[in-house]
Amino acid sequence: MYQYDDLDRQVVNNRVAQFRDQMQRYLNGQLSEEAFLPLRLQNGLYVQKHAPMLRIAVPYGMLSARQLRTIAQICQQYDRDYCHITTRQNIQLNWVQLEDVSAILDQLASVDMHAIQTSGNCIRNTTSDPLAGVAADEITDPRPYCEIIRQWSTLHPEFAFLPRKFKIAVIGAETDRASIQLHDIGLQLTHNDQGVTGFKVWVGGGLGRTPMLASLINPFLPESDLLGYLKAILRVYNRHGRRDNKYKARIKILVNSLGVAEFSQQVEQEYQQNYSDEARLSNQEIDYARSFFSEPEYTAVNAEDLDMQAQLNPEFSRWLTRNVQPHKVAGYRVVTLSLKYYGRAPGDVTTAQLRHIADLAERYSFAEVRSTQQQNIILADVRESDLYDLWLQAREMDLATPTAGTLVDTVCCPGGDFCNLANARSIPVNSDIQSRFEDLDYLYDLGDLSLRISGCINACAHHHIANIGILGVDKKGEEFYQVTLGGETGDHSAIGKVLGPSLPKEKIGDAVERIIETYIEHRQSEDEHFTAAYRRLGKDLFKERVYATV
Amino acid sequence: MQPSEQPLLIINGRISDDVWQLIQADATESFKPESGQSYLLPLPQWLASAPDFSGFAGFPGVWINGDDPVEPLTDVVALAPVIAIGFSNFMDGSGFSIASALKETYGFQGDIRAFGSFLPDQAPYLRRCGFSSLAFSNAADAELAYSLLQSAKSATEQSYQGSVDQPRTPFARRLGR
Repeated sequence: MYQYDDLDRQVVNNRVAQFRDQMQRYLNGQLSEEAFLPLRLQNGLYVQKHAPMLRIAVPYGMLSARQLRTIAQICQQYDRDYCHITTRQNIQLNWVQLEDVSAILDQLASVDMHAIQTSGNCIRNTTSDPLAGVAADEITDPRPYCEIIRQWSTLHPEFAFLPRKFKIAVIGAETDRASIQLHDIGLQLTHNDQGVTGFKVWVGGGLGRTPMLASLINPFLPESDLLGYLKAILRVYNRHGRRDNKYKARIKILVNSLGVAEFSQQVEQEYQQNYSDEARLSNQEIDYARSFFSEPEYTAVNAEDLDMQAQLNPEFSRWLTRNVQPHKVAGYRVVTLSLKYYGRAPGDVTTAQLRHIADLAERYSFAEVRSTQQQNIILADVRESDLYDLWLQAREMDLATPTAGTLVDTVCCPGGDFCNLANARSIPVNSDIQSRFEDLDYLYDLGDLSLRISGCINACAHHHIANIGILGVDKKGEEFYQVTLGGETGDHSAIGKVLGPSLPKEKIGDAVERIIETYIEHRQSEDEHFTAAYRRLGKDLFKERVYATV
Repeated sequence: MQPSEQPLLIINGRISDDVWQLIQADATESFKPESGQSYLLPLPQWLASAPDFSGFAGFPGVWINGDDPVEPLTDVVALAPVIAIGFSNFMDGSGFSIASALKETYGFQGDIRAFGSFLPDQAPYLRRCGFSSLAFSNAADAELAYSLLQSAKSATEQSYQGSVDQPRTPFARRLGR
């Protein structure tokens, strides 16, 4: 994991001091609400329904046990004993007081954390593959490049007042586990014929009101040219992106209106004419960034008794099947600690759980964890021989719900319960659906299936890319929900299609049950995934079933 | 863009009066230069009077809006002593990229000035993007921006990117490149 040096600390401390001054001027009435807005947003501070919300940056999802304990301390001292993992791997505090924010930032800075650029029209936290460094299909570890981008984009003077927010994702594996095509810029590490490391560059993806998949604008960008090329993309966007309409301000709209060829050409021209040695990354720099992500000291272990343990304990076996994934090193596994306990809001994690996770990380996974886009926590380096003990201990704190990847591993925004932007609540809808799918055997029979619930068109839960997506809409002051089917993430990213007219809140659980029944009745075999069946069967079959009964 | 008649200016780190008079786009018909006065002209007017600028005391400066194309400035950069960039709204950061492009792409050596609607809190970023003077319409804003620029001197030094004049990659300096 990256370790801060003096410069990193100075950057964060300077920003905390600057923000403290801005906050003081705001509270004294010397800084207007309007002027304070972009300044506080750039520091992760929203004004929410009940209290301000502070979003803490978790760079590409990496957290140390020490950082987890500090977050726990902050939740206990300044919030209501819990926090929320977002769909972009960050952490949200939903109940902080405005006057406490500077003190919270000081505590974060003490463990090399901050809230810089977690909101506002600027370059946001760079996200990545939650299995970075441990996936068997990885070409190159993306994290050193994420860290370089993190630093380059942090307080970049040219790109703090963009037309709209800007999100970058980087992967280093064949399989896309970070939905790069749904980002403003998606980068995939690759090698060219000469063995040089570089990136495939996608631009113009995003969800919201106009969901779009990104387009490939450069099939091979040498790694040394990364920052110069990113700057060229951002500059073309900052100069030509629309500012007259918030809903047409993302880079996807610019790429779409210019056309991919013309946009690429403008980027290329901008890049070529400002090409400079100062912008080039040297091998020395890249190696230095890599040095922070070298492999931990793996020790080979004999795990013969794992099968035996699984046979003897069906519950453990279920958890092993759903929440444990292979690791590139024999004898190790990747473990998902589920934050989808029945009856709780997806992604919420309590102070006690945070401390427990820190303990587990220290005991079993080199004192590091990752937050995931799926709103869970991953322990990336667990010895097979430790799995049983880990499971027992995770279970004590409700962190072992064996449902990772199933229908009830729901991704859900805070929704109308907390968020000012929301048109409808999302958490109660999730609870209703969860309660209908408590039979684990039935859930497992459905296989991998994604459900995502957004409380408004800002689509924080990314409902468009869910197999079953639910979107809260406002109909004359009533909470209604639109259902989309057939969305997918990763290598086959696809935007789901609206099933039909939106439904009232009390009908949405029934609708999901009817959709699942239709799938079960018509799938060709247990191996035919939901989206495959949906594409084969067509929308109408599902639509008729859902609307016949409501 | 409606700047005040006599803006206060921060130039080279000092607050001073502005010697450049900005001519509005709708005032060019009746405009006659007075001897000894320095002017900032709208781009079309500047291009129409170039290159001899008869009647002017010296080469006038030029002003554009943040969303104007910069390509016509190719002819301007060699002659204009000042290029002023108007901010229509402090949320509109296109001016940051225009100033950077003037420096990087066009090699402009003169004064790059910000005017219009921007925040004192943006002054340090404006400076790092190549703005060498900032025109404020009131003294309180100019003074706040001045003090923020003073205290941000070390923050510029302690940054990952440096400035458009002295750019760097994040690890370059730390590795002694």
